[in-house]
Amino acid sequence: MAEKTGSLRDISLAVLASLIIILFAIALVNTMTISIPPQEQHRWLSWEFLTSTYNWAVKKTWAASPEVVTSVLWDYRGLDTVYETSVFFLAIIGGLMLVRNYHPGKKYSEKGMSLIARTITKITVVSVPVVAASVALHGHLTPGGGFQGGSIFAVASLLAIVALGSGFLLNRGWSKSRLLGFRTLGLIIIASVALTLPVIGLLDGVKAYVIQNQYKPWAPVSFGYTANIPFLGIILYSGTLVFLNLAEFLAVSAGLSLAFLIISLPREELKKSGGIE
Amino acid sequence: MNKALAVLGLIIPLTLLYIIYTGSYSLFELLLGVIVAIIVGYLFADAVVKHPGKIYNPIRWFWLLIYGLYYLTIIEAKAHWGVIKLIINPKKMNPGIVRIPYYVKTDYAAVTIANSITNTPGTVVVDIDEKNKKMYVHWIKIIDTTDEGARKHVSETFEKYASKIFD
Repeated sequence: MAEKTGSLRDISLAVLASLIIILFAIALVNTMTISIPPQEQHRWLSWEFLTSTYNWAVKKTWAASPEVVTSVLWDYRGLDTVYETSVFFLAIIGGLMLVRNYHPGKKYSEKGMSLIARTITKITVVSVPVVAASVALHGHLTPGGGFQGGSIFAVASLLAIVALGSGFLLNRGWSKSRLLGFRTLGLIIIASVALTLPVIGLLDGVKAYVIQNQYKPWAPVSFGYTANIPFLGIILYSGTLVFLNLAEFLAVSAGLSLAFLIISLPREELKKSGGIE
Repeated sequence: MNKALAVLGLIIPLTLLYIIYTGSYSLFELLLGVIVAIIVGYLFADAVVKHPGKIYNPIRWFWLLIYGLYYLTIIEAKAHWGVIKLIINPKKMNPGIVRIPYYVKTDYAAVTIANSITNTPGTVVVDIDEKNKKMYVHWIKIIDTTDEGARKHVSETFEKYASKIFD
């Protein structure tokens, strides 16, 4: 290749190749692809949700949140999401059971990748949780939420485990029991938010539902939807949604980080502890 | 104490990241951002910031600005032009891997040099030897194969600025 470079043949071949690519691209765009126009009509189901979740005029069916997905997840089918969170919790417990005999020593290996990868990963590891927190805190306003934020947070843990060695997290106190504690704390907050209104309803002698969010004419209890904070103005927090999102964020962050830490435990040491063959 | 200073130093960059990602600029968001930054700083600050005093040194920030401008305009343009010439006339290509020593002390300075080398077209850091402070650089047109000679052509400018910013 080196001896005949820059010759007329090479140049004409390059021009020919680019012409063919351009022709194929034009042909593909013009004939083979089906253009998808922006949808102008909603189906009845999406129309139902779009016109009810943030409809200030019909407050008996609203969720006080402009974000439809979060409204469905934590309000309309909130109990389902609570069960999902519990199932995930049990999965983590099951994972822990597999390594229950493992009682590691004091110091863990912090041998990761090269200097460059380690340094850049450290910067990423502080940046990712900030983005995760933003996603979780605005779950009731913009696409996102507790599970999504928690998953993003877990990416930081995964990056740290792979690039910095699992010792990076373990040596700074991310132990099994502590992470499980935060996982449980998240679940406890979810459970208490779900049960607050029924308890209030019971005390007041009015009807109230488990994991109810907004006021209903036949169940007159509510978490409210806006807060007027001095100097900061009126903040929309959408009732239970923001609390549930935060609790889910805590639970998923800790749970997934714990799962990744369990996966990263060295097989040799697990064998030594007698947990696996 | 050291950790508290490190957390304090991280508040501004992390809050800025939070605000940029959120895309909303009210006072309430700022407050939330600061709280998030403090929590994240509490979790990880000591790993990222080893010498918090350096964050508060405006001279380092000044050099970072100068280096950023100089690197993104003049150095990048020169490197691109060099590679363009090689593409037009590939006979002059002389690829290979050279060993380049570096003399900076901190990790950040070494990574700045390595990434500056990689980001300019024509040179890529293949591996880094932390113990002996050597980088192995793939160079598309080797001019000098000795360690010091290669360093003079490839990384001397980067190293000068990196040591001013991070060391």
